[in-house]
Amino acid sequence: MRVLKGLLWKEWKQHNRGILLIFIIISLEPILIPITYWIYRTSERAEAWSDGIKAILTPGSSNTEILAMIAVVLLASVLLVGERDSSLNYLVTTPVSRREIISAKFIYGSLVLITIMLIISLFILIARILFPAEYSAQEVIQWTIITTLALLCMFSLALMVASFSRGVLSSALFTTVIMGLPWILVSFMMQVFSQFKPVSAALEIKARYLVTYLFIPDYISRDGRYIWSSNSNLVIDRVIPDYPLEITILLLASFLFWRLAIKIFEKNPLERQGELLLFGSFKQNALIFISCISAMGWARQVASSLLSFFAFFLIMWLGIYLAMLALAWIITWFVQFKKY
Amino acid sequence: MDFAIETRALNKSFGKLKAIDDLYLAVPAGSIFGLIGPNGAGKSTLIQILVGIILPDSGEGFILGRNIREKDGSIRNRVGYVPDVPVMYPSFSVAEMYRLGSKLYPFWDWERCKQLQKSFHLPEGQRLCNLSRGEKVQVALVMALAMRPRLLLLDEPTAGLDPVVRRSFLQAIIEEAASNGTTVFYSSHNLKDLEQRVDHIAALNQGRIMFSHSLDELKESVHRLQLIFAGEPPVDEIKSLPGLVDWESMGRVVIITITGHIDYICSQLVALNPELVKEQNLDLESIFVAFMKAEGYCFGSEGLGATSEVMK
Repeated sequence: MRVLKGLLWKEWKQHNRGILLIFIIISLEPILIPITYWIYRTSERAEAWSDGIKAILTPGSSNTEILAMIAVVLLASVLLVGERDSSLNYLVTTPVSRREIISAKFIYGSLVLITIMLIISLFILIARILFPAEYSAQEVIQWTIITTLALLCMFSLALMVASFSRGVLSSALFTTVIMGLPWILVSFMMQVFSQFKPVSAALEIKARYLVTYLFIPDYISRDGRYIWSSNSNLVIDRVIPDYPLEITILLLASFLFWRLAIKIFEKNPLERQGELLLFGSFKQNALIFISCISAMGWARQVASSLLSFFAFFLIMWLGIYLAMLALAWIITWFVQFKKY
Repeated sequence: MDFAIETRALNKSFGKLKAIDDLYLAVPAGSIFGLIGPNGAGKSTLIQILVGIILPDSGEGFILGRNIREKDGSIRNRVGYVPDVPVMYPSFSVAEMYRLGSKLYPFWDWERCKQLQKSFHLPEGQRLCNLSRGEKVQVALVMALAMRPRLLLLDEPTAGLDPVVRRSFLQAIIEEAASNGTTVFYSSHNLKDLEQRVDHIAALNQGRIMFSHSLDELKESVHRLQLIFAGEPPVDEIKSLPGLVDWESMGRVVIITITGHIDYICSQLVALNPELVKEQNLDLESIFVAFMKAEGYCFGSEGLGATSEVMK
């Protein structure tokens, strides 16, 4: 406990200015703009000050939510990756375990998130009592709980990625890719299947229903909760919010990512910076990933049936991977050759 | 005998480079142990493995009786570490670094901290990013001593310090070792500093231990002898002397560096029939250079003389 307190104090001393900046950015729409509005009053409508807040609370991506998501991912990356090239080498020489280091960062980030969200929601709730508003207290409470938990889940995922990444931006980028992966994969698979075989509306709904639970940003924006047909621009279904289920999933996912972050960080030889430590070389993994995505796209264009799609996909994946490997080897050889 | 540090078959590679190669080392508790070796020998890697920055590939290591693979941070409760370029928290002031130290180390001694802070005249309110490298090393030393260590790991800390600061730095370490029985594991290129202060010494080359002895043992076991012959020196016989580390020939005079008991060496030399055998003073630097030559370490021909030869 003594060590944890010390580490939390260190995090606060190190990042208090950044946290203040994050707070200002996130609170711009729900706190600062309404305050400015009360001062200057630019509309006749008494509830006009709450338009921005209403936009945040209703389904659909708002600026605040997008900024909050970016801030959370960057916060996790800065907390861990920001220390990687420098002070982390000092910290691991003190009587602090790697588990304590990453746990302190997780607790610190979570406390920051919860505090910022609490301040914002309290402000919104109190403002509603004092002034006529276009939203209900229940909406605020639901939004606060789900958004806080979704941000927490994103934060722990970003922390997990940061535990094996080097650069802050690359860590943030990789987190974004992982976060978007369920949505990209399911959408792609649905398109592939529907190209060769008619997909029933029920199956499509099921697939998209699954994505709403796997794609973390959707818990906040709730865009995906409205399921659109892939062939027309019609809403074919709407996922009825199951808040207990959403809360359980987000809590479990946060816990899982945090545990994984600890496991990875404990096995992380700090000198191997910038490599995907769990899976070997970063370059190798990038080549595998890029060749896989390219092969999927090309196979879809040339295949005439589902079976041929898989055959083309496997052959192209291997072919593209080997070609890229050869290209990387030639580039490395050329750079070395130029050096000497 | 109690060992403050012990490694068994320790290995660490960076890609194809073997930085630590099947390393066996035992550092007696309470000793001041010097670690020498050429650049890239693996000294910093070894210390970084011991202190927890780098994880070893295989083998075992123990500090103060505990396995370095233990995940619990308490293994470093009484281990102080001063690197050559201390990287702490650049935005923290010196006082804030001490405060952090007091929060992380369970045996932190504020009185000792203030006393050391006073003797080093460090600016408490100054941020670390504004301190010179020497000042940062001093801050690291104050912290390493204020946590009441039982083991101090020093990785070339005095390189780049001015003579006055270097002396007070080394004095503080000696006092710590003398008054508290702290084991000091000190890696340095400054062999004169080491020779005056350490009681044990080990040399590392290409990740392997070349020798590890008490300083007295080392000096007793390595000799530099000047042999003067009446005619042409018997080079082939000299080359085949058991324990020969290095030799140089200048006409009728041959200077050899050789390991072994002096009586045994003399009995071997009688057969070569030299006119005169004279033992020369051999300091740590000469011993080290001789061993490095024997290991095939590259030297420029200018510094060695045309007749010098490397013995493998």
